[in-house]
Parts: sequence; C-alpha cells; structure tokens
Amino acid sequence: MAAPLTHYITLVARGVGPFALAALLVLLMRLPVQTDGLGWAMPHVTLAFVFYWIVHNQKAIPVLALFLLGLVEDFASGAPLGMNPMILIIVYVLLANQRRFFINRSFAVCWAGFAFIASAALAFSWLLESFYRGQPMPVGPLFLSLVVTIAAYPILGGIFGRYQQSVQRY
Amino acid sequence: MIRLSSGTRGSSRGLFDRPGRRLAISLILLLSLTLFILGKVEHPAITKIRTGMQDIITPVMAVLSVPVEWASDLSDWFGGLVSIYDDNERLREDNTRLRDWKAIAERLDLENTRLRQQLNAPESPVDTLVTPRVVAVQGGPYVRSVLVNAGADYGVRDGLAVTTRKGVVGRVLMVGAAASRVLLITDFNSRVPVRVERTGQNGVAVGRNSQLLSLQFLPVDMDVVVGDRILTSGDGGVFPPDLPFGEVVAVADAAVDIRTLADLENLDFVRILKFDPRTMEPGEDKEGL
Repeated sequence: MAAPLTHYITLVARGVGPFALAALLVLLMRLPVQTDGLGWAMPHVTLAFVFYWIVHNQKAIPVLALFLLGLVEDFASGAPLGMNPMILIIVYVLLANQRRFFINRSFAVCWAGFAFIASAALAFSWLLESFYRGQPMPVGPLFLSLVVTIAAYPILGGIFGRYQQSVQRY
Repeated sequence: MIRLSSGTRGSSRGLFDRPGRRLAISLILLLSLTLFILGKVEHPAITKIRTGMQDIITPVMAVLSVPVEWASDLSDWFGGLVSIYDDNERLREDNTRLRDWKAIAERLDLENTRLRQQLNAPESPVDTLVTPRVVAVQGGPYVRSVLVNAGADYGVRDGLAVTTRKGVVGRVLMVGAAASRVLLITDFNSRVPVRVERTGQNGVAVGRNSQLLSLQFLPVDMDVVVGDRILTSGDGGVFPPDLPFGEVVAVADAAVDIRTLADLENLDFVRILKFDPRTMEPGEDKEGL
C-alpha cells in the first residue's frame, strides 16, 4: 500500500522545512517596514539557526542546504558572495566537534555558547570584509550587529524549537 | 587543524561519518572561497549571479510584503480616523497658502522660460524614468542598499540617480531584468559631489554607514553653518545638479556632518531619474554633431 501523502509532506517538512524557515526569516527581516533608524541592525539568523540545529538535532545538516542558506544571507545582507557560506560551514564543523558541551545544559549555558561562537564568527566576517574591500572596516556597526544577534537568539531559538516540536508531532 | 570526526565520545558522532561527507564539506568550502575570490577580482560572473538572485527574490519579497502593507495601511487608516478633524483644518490652511504659491510659481515659470530663451540655455534634463517600489532593504554592518522592483525591462541602467520628492536617495548599482539594487547615499562606498546652497562652495558627501554623512573636500576657506542646505553639484555627471540632498547638522573644525533630506529609513516609492549629462552642455547644437 502506498504511503499516505501526509507521510511525504512530513518528510519534506522535516528535511527541507528548517532551512526554508531560516531562509524565510532572513527575507522577512529585509521587508521595508518603518524602522526609524533601527532597520540596519539585523540579527544573523543563519548563524543562530546553525547553532540551534547542531545543539538540538542528531542529524547532520545537508552541506548543500547550508551553502544555499549562506548565499541567501549574503544576498540579503549585501555581503561578498561566498562569505557567509564559508562562515556557516566553518562554524558547523567546529561546533559539531564540541556539541557535547551544550547537550542537556541549561538555556543560559547554550546562550553563552552562542554568544561566544557569534563573536568569533562576526570577527572572522570583519576580517573577510576588510580583505574584500581593501581597507579595515569600522568595528562599531559590527558590534551593534553582534549585540542584536545575541539578543535575538532566544526569540529565534524559540521559533526553531516550536517548528521542530510541531514537525515531530507527526 | 579542523577535526572532521568527533572521535570516540560525544554526541556529535555520526555527523561526519557518512562516506563522502568530508569531501562534500571540502568542495563546498572551496566553492564558497572561489565565489569570494571572484567577487574580490570583480569577475562579471558574480554580477550575473547577484542580478539573477535579485530577479528570483524580488517577486518573493513582493508577496511577503503584502500582509505587511495591509497592516500598515490599516494602521494608517485608524490613525487617520483619530486625527481627521485636525488634518482637515491643516489642509484648509495649506490650500489657502498653496494657492498664493501657485500664482508665484506660475509667474516665475514664465519668467524662467523667457530667460532661458534669451540665453539659449537648455531645459532641465531631469525626467523620471520609472517610479518603482522598494521591496527589500539589503544591508548589514557594512552595506546600505535597497532592492526596487524595476530593472532593465523598464530601461533602468547602472549609475542612474534615485530620489524621492524630498531629496536624493542613491544611485542604481546593479540591474537585473525585473529588479535593481540601489546603493544609498549613506553607504560606506557612496561619494556624491555636492555644493552648499548658500555659498556655492563645492564638496563631496561621503557615506559612513550611519544616518549622517560627512561633507569633505571643502575649500580651505569653507563657510558652512548648521542649517545650510546641501544640493547636488552635478559634477561627475551621475547626479543632476541642484537636487535637494541634505542639511548641515554639525560643524566642528574641519568636520561637517549632514543629514539626508530624504527619509532613507522609511522608503516606499522612489523615482529613478532619466538623466543624460550631455544635455547639460550650454548652447547645444545637435545638428552639427
């Protein structure tokens, strides 16, 4: 007997869904809503996604999906093409080896871990941007971006967690 | 060296155990690095990829923005209901005042036309090519740009000036078939030749990825005070002359800060100008060319 359609939908939702959700969040943050000056300080959604995924999921992330997600982030943030895929993959490889430090730990520990990883990743992005543009870039905007990214992690983690729960129910 | 396997313990076991996974990671990393290096050397393929992504993502953004627009319209509608009486009073006063201004403007327009005829000066070459909508803000710590839903299909090309009715917004940087990227004047890479309206002194407005710009390359005997209006000078041929640009908000020693007249934080529709600097040449004689 053929598997019901809902079975396939669930498989797709589990496999592609989280990446589509992350990409959707990246794009939603780029909608031209009235921001009164705060619109440029946006959280690094894909970084939060990779961290959450590695800490809370056993399955490996499809590398191609990670690459595409990084390209969407590059496009949305105006970063040099290829920069965010590089950062996400390096973070993924490093984090996958240190995952045990965050399993079954309190949220505060995970949040602190994310803050550390985000600081290192954005510092690396500063190096890449400075190399790309041929001059040292100002640190102020990067620091603001880091603060917003760390502050947004509980919200983004909540969204990813809610999605994960709703998919696992089926 | 990065270890791709978690070793003997730890819950990450298995993440890199599948055959070919290390190879896949290495290849994708190499591909990312290649894209990055190609972008650094400004290879045309990177521009094509970006414009292709623009054309794909723009319709998606247009769909995503529909509920946001509805919410915004609804909020404006309720806001309008609350202030409807005050707005009506204000509009009556504005109407009376603008009727007086209309009479003055018509007289000045007539005078201007007559003087242009006497001096053989060409008409102002600034027309609107298209009025697209901003569908996305493209930006991060080091970039200030927006995506608009008009591209080569509407005749948009690189370098065209973009404004709102309040002032200059930026210039077209990357053109796809159905969408274009506009580099804002506040971007780190933006340089716009401008002049101080009161004194006529020329300078360059330099973006610095914040709401304020720096006014640089002013003459040594610069005469700038807070409140001075800044207009485009037309030098370089990208921006037409005399477009409203900004207002001086701080002067300290040699540093002059200006704020844009256009509200770059709340952009909706923008005008892409059809500007050909060649039509600015005085005493044109196109028959002889």
